[in-house]
Amino acid sequence: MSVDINLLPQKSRSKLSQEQLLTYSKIGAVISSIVTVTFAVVIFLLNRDPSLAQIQAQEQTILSQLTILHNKTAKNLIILDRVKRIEKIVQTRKTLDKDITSIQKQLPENADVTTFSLDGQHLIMTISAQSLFPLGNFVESMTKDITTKTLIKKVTIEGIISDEKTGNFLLSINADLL
Amino acid sequence: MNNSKVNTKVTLDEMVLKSLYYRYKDFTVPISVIVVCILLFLFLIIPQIQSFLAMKDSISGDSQKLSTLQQNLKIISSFDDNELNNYLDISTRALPAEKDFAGVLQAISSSAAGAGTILGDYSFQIGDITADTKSKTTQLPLQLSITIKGDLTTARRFIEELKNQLPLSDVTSVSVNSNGTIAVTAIFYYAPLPKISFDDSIPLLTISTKEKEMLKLLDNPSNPDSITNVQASTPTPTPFSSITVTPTVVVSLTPTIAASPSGGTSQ
Repeated sequence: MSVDINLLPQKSRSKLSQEQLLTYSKIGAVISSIVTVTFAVVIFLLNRDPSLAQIQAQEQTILSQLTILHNKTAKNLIILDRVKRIEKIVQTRKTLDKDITSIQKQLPENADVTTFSLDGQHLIMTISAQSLFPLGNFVESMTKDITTKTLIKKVTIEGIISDEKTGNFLLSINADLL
Repeated sequence: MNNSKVNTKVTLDEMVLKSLYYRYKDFTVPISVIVVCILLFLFLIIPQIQSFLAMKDSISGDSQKLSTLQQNLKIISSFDDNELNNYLDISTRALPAEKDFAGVLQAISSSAAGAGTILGDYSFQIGDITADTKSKTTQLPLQLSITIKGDLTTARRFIEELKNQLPLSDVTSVSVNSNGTIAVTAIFYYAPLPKISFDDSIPLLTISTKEKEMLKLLDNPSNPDSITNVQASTPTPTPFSSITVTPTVVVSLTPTIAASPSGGTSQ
């Protein structure tokens, strides 16, 4: 029989390890119990927050008040819709009155408009005068207008006619507007 | 050789279980507690946390909605009924919901009077009367050809006057003839009313001061500070007040009508 074999230290080490393990497991159980209970209580208390119910109650109250005022809301919405469309029309509508004013300013005093047609893009007009000077002044004025880019983009003189019956000169122009 | 073989077969009989139990019985309670705690955490605590977070989100969303509702209520409550009615009246007169023949005739009559001219023949181009999907989103034109007497200055004054009249119009062409007649083509606009859907949780928009000024200016171009009272305003009697235009009947006959101020109509 061998006497060199000593099992005592190993057995003691194993027993200590098991005791430690048991201690750790007990500690773990206690900690996990505390954590679980704490979380459960905290979450329970947090979920009992009455603010959501209060907010929803307030919402219902205001919604019922707003329902009574839907007539006003509808009027406001219609006004907003109309205003939006009106603004669009006002911004895009032609300014023929201003165009006519601009053309009239260029018209010499001793010249008359015989025919006039304006559609926002084209101007066709005939002016008459007893001499060629006013007609020349008008053409010059139109040419300046093209340079300053006020109203007219391009002018074509369609013809200059001398009316022997009336003694007037007629100038026909065709212009493209800006 | 046979003795050196290791028997690998494990038998789990009652004795073994008993020995294991007695050996590890001290661990039973702590391990059970830990397992129960883990199960509680997984199946109770975590869903409750998720529920809490969802509730927080809900509170946040509802608070925002409540704030919007309160703001909307404040805005709507601040509306003055008379002012609202006035703006509604002006805006619907400026852009009617349907073809406002009476308003158009009144506008051209007033413009002619303002320009100091006599109104000649006029005709409406009714246009396409079939339902159009675009009609819900855009303004629809009602084209009108008018003949007045006068010269270029008269034409300009007439256009200026027409610009200040309601319903809103746009003069698209003007021709002054040598015989002293002026042919004006104008477009009067109308647009169907929008489909109103009440969603009180959407922030309510109101017309701005600039837009209010624009409406006042449309109502009274000479004095935008004064606004016509709806209750007090009555339509100005016009030579056309006795004319009743029924677009449906006219359209069913011909798409274009021409009418004279005396009330007679001719094609």
